[in-house]
Amino acid sequence: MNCEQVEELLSVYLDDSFAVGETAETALELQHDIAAHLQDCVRCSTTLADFRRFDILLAQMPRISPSPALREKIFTSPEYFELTGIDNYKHRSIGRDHTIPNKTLRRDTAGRPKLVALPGGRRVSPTSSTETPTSLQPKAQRHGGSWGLRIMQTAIAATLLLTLGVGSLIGWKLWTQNVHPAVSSSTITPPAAPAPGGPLSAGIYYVSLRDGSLWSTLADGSSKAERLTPKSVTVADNWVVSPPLPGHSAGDKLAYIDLQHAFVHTLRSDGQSDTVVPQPLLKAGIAPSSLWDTSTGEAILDSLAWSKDGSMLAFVADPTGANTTNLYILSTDTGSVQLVPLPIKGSVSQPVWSPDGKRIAFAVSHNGVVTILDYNTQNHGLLNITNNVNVQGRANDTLLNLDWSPDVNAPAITWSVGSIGHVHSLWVRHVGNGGIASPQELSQGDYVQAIYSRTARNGTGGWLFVTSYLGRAANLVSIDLTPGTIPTILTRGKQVNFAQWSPDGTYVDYLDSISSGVGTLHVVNVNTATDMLVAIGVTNEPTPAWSADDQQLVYSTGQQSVIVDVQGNLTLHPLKIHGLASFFSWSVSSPHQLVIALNDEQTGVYLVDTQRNSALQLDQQALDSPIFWTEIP
Amino acid sequence: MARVETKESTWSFDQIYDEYKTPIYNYVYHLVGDREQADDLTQDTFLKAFRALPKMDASLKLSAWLYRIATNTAYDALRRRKLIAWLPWQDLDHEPADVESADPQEIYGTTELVRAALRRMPQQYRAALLLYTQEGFSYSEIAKTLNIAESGVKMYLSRARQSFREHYRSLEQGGTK
Repeated sequence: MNCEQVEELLSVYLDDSFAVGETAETALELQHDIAAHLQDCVRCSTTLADFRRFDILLAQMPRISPSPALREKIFTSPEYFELTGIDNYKHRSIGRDHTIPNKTLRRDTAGRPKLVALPGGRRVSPTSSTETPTSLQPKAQRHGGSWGLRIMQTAIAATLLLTLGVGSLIGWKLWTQNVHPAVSSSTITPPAAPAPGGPLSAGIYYVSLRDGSLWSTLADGSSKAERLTPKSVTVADNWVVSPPLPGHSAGDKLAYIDLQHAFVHTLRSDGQSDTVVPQPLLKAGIAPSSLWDTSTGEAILDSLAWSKDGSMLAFVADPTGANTTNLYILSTDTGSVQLVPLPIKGSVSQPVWSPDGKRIAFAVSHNGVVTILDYNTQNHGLLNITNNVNVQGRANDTLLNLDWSPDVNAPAITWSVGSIGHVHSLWVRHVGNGGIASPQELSQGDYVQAIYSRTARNGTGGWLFVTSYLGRAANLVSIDLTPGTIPTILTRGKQVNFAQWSPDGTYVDYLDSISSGVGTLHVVNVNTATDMLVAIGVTNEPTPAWSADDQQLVYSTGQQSVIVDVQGNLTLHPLKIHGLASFFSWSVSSPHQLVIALNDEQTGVYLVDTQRNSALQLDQQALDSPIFWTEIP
Repeated sequence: MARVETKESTWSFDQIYDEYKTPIYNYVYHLVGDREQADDLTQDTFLKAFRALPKMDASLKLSAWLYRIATNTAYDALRRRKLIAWLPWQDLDHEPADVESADPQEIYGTTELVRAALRRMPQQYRAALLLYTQEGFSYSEIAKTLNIAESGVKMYLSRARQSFREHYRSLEQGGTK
């Protein structure tokens, strides 16, 4: 094939649409021929790259809405009155009542159009159809008349009713056949009826915090949100779900802090067994509300941590009222709480479980000195990881992040030191068999941010840091947990913001050149250090979200949400559901299901099937905090 | 209250408007490149739809049908505009007031270029490209909306991409808008 022939087919090649109008054999042959040509032809490869780039640009063009005045103009136009028969006076209500449930609308409104079956329309309450007879009563009947006339009128009404019934049935049939509707609205269905009380049934649920309570919603939309926590408690933001057990998609235990009474609670994912952990978080007599905004309060609220198998819950508390927090470990099997004895004075914060769930690392602060300790829950031994994280002696430096390497056979604790916006060093200390006696520095400098991932660097753990240039965020660099390794430069000439690891640590996404919360979305393959532009005009809220298998990334442009097929040449798939997204969360049970919270005209939570580009409304309430997934076995 | 409904599905006219106003307006705006005209054409589109809906067959696919009306309405307007030679293209370089995105300089420039390149394309190719890239339509949906065969969509999109590329690159290299 020569370039001219290939150029004619590049568009179809890009869309993978050879099958349209061609036999499978021919389509395959064409595809192979073009792929072979592209390998050697710079000109055609450039054209293809341009086509791809322009598709992205076009898909990302700001979406323009009409002014509110246009609505008024249409619905008060003489043409509209003419076709509906509504006079000006009556029409004044139209602008207001479009959100009123259909059952409030009378069907005998003057000028109402005839019934038309619209597959994919919104479901309504049955009351709308039961109103039909009223609307069909002829005027003469209401004013009285002869028997003959009444009989005739009744016959006409019956005929009309029959017609309507048949029409409705046809409409329903077509509705049910329409398995792949073309628009977002036609694929949205309202939440189902409330579920009965008692334990929630088995399944995958998402849990959200709303008005101080935790709510659980079955992810298939078959029941509405159920309150998990008692009305008498106010759940703090930092509630946690236990890690999934082997063979399960999500954890089955929750833990939260009741802000009103300052106690930790544990709870089963089915809403049963809400249990108050007997260890008070604060000294009796201290008003909890007076403490939550203090450093002690923050340490307590941020401390909940489940062990790997969910058999232990770590938390910190200040039961003496001395502004000194201690570390406690609850055994969910026995219900007993153990105080972890400290060899030094200080306040405990940031407990982090090791990957095997047997050890727990934490920080102890005393007079500005931060020590890291490692407690072994099996032999009750304590290991001093470092006496003072601030080895450089910088005035404001403290411990920022604390975590573990994923290797259970050669465990290591890693941490970053600095202040917000100025990360000065990254450290590691190997512990256990073959461990070393002192921490080793991985990197030092002045970084804007450092983010750790246990899954990065092919599952050995790795840091990502954002360099600083003239006081501003600059480029991305990654480094693994082996001291002496040369960091890998991932981007050049960028202003990286909101960088985050993909779940398996293969990719990082970030926003470049952000302004007013909007930037250019890039994805970097960390293994190959390839930086790829994905889309322009991407908002930082909600944060783009990776699917659990690293195959897809969803982001928002404001009114539109778009799926990036990361494995498929970064192909973009705009979702047909439109609206101002406030949150994304991929389902833990299906790589093609995504929960999107909208916060505008279509406020609610939707489950999007990304393969069919359809949406199911799970909840009509807005969602303004993260959700977590649970499983009820 | 004007409504179109079945036993299972009910749409009032204003629900239809609220649901489709942004996609239809956005589409029409990019077809004609003029905000004021997009207002008029969006109004015409919805009024035509409201008028015709009660007569439509039960198997109607509302979305594709609305886009089809919008396309034809816009084409008619573009034809009229060609006849009325003194009516100039509105300057597209200004950003509409309620664009739902911030405008960092780099993106602002790109947006202008995209609009200008679209403006220079043949209208039928412009429609196909917009439906595919912005509205996420499949080949089959585009075929129905533009009333052409699916094989025609392949040709339209191929021509559209080539045309867009040619104009965009020319503008990028300093070609006059």
